[in-house]
Amino acid sequence: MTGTLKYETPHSLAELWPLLVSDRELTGFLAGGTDLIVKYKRKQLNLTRFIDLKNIESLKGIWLDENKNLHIGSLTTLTELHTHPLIQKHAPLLAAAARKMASVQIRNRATIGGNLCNAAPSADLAPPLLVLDAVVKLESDQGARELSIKSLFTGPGQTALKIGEVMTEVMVPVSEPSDKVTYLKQGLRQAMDIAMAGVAVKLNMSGNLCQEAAIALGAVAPTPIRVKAAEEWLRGQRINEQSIAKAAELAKIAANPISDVRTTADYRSELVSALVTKAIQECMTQV
Amino acid sequence: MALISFMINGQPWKGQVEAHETLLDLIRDKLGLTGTKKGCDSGECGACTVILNGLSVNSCIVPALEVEGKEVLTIEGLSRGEVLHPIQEAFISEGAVQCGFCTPGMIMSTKALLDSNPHPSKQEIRQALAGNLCRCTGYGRIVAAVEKAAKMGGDDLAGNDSREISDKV
Repeated sequence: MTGTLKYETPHSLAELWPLLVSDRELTGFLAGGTDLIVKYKRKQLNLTRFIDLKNIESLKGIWLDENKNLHIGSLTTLTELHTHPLIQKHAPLLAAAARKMASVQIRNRATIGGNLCNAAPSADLAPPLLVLDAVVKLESDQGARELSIKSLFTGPGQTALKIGEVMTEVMVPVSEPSDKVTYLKQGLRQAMDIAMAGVAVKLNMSGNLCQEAAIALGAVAPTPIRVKAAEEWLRGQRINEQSIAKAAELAKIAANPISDVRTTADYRSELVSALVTKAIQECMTQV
Repeated sequence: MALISFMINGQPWKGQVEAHETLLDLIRDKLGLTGTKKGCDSGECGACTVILNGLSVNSCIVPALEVEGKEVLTIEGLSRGEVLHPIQEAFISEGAVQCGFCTPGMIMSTKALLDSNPHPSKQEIRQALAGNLCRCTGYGRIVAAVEKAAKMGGDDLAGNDSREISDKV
């Protein structure tokens, strides 16, 4: 890395806000740094300052409130997500998705807040959090607000965060043991790979009948998306080969993939259909 | 520029570092510990793996300023003088080295693995080393070396350091 760069280390949000009075567009928020530092080295970012958030204790920690919401501090690392007992018990989908990401070394650094705020269409935590109806907490010197994760992503690399806001927490309603959940990701290898496509599914069944369905796709549209059409179709249906095929087709129609260095738009479309099928089938094998 | 102090391989270090400096550049260029390699310089290849406060990290994407007050272990910190660490012995005896560039990173990832899981399965070994690339395609020997290191008691968990035992014998 080269150039003149300032490095700030606030120890609380109260210490952070005065730093954001000026030069906010030229500031990079440093959490795990697994994206920020790589982009900075490649001169893809014009920054004059890093603000290292890792000394702000209020951005850390995982706890369960009385309304059965998991609160996950935005600095929680992927390693913590897949090993923490509260996540494993109450949001197993999130733990499993974190485990599928990158490498041990990256998982030890990368954070949930960073994964979401970078807003890559392929962000692996996004589809699981979308089907879990997660809510993010955003704070600035003006106060705090909560935003459904559905409203967070506004475009590739773009979020609804206003300048001067930071993500402080991700809130996830606890999963019931009867929830059937899975996240499938297709890459060239099983580690260190950015998804060509990712699919998260959550089903609530009553016998053979699907009571509720949530389906989210990653890496096949400008942002991670929920597939309302497929969800509405599945609601009230018996889950069988025909109903799964129709849901997969509706998901494929909803996707709007591009061709890039990883694969083609056509292949991504086929992947959506195949992964949605497989994900629903996998959910149905869960006891 | 800022003054930082931290522990490197059990020794204190204090000095000036730049905001844009990475931990990798600090340990190679300022501390002269060139066992840690610079491969991709972007967190992909694992050649720069070191252990920071007990966790393996890619030192090429850790800002040097961030290690203030922390403990860093590099490949140079594994042996005790002339006595090699069991993981190093296992890599030698299994021939798990071709060009050697990935080896320090492989060994540091192995140490992080064995210290948290002293008896990993083959699958767990492969997953633990997924972030370390070997372009000589020597993965078979490397996995065998990690299995051997585990059998040799290659973890450094309390009371299980085979070098101390061999010293006593």
